[in-house]
Amino acid sequence: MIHLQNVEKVYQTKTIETVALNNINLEVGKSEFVSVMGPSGCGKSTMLNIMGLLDLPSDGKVMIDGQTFEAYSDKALAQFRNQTLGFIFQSYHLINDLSVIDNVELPLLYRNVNRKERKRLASEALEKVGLGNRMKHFPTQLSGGQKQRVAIARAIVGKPKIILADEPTGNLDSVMGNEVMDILLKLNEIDDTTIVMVTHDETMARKTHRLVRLFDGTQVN
Amino acid sequence: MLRNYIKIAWKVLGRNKFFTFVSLFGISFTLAVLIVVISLLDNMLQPSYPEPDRDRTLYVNRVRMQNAEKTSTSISSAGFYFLNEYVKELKTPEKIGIISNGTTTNTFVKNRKLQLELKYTDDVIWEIYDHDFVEGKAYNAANIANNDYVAVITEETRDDYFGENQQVVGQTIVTDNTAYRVIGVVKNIPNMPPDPAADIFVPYNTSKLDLTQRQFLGGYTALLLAPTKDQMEEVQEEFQAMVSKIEVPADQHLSVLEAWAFSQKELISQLASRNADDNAVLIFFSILIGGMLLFMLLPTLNLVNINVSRIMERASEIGVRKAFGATSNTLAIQFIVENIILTLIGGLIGLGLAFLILQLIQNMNMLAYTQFTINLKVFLIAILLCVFFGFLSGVLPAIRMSRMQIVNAIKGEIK
Repeated sequence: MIHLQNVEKVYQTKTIETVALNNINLEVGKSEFVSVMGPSGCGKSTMLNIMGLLDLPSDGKVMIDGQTFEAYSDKALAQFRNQTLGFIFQSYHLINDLSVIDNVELPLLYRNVNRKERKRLASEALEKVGLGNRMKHFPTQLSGGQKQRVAIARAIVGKPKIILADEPTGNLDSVMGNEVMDILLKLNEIDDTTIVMVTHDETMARKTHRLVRLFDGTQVN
Repeated sequence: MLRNYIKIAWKVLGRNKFFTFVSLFGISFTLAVLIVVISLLDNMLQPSYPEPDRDRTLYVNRVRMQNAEKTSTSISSAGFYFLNEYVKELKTPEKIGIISNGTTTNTFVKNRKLQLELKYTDDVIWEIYDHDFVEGKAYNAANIANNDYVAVITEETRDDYFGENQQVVGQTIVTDNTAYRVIGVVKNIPNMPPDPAADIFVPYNTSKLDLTQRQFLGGYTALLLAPTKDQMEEVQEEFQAMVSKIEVPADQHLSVLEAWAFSQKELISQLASRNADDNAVLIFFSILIGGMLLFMLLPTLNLVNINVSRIMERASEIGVRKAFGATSNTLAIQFIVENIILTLIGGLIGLGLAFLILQLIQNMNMLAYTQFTINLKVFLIAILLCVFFGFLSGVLPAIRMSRMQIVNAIKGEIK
């Protein structure tokens, strides 16, 4: 499902060159749940961003769901992200000005789904994460765990094949963290969604199918 | 989608109330001033009481005489002789009327001094203008032939001179030491250019001036009513042909004659430029539109600035939207739409403000008896201005926003 081949990412400034990723080769199969661990600054998030087509590698090849993206326009890339990928961020990144249901609808807005259908799909996704009763609330009225569940609902509302989660439990206490982790595990088991999760938490990582470790931009296992 | 934009725009407005106040104040104040200017212009250009055919009337109100060497020039309104002898002979106009410039005359009522603006006219003026008579009628050719000392006065003159709402036809009004018999009373007249207003109208031949003198310059205006709007040019051509044939007697010091029959648009343009240039309309409206754009520039720059800082606040939202499938174009359009919504709100406030300003002008009698209306045309121009304004101030920030790298935007870093 996800194929990284000899991927490198180098950040260049006038005086210094920083290698964020060095010759990464990684294959994530369909319906696989992979966690990525490593110390801060080792390139975990950079790798996730490249998988999510949010950032471009300096070198190497990225293939997602059988597609390569060298010739993709901004519009085609946006469309591919919208159809195939869902994102969960450590600090949720909900839009505070929109209600919970409007936040969840967001990916469908860019898919020309009509309003009624958007509402139906968004409430279905919210039911799935146990927030069916919070649709009209605003993000500022929710706890951290609830916010992350809204973010998960937003990530799954378009039924993407792949979910990329960047430390989804990083800002949560263990109880809430476990709740979020359970939702992700269920998504993987029941809906066959491929998930790549960056985490600092060994316990969470052990619940996934496979653990990838990075150190200074290099894959170590 | 639009619903979503409106929702967000509304929330963004509420987020930083001070910014919103500054933006809205700038937009609404600017638009209010522009709407007032447009409304004033519209009022001058459109047919209105007492000139229902203003859009097909030409005004001969400027004559220029120079000596042969063109070292000495004299410009003024037309002389009665010129209008009566030459202009009245034109064939293409449907009607030709003559009216003098206003003269301030003094009269005394019960030991109180009253100043009245008096205008001398012929009888045709009453056929070109369409006054609302509350009593009596206008003087006609027979009155002029009989040398009758008759007058048409306004309601205000009647109220000041005779007392409110009196029946005054047949009574005598004395002004400038001359007694006139009141023959008609008309509703008050707005004194907007081309200024058909006066307090008292009397036949031209009651003037103490010798109207038979061969004078080209003087204090009179002729109104030429073209049969249709399209025939105005034809009238102007005949007018110019007539002027070019006039031979000014050689004994006159200023012997080169030029005169113009201006449309209302050209007349307003003449108010701004003192020389009777063919391009006056173009120059006037260019200056007007240029001035308007310049006037809009400052609040636009202000709005651009505010918008850019708002984008910085919203970087992470932009990143998230892009991650979930929004293209750069969609986001740019979203931002421009949000901005247009903001300017439309500002525009509505501006429209309200303009309405108040116009009411104020009207109530303060700055332009007496003028009925200002914000009609559909002015309203549509106002809306168009808002959209243009919103677009102008939204495009630059929108372009900047759409170029943001997703990863940086999500982290809230602007690059």
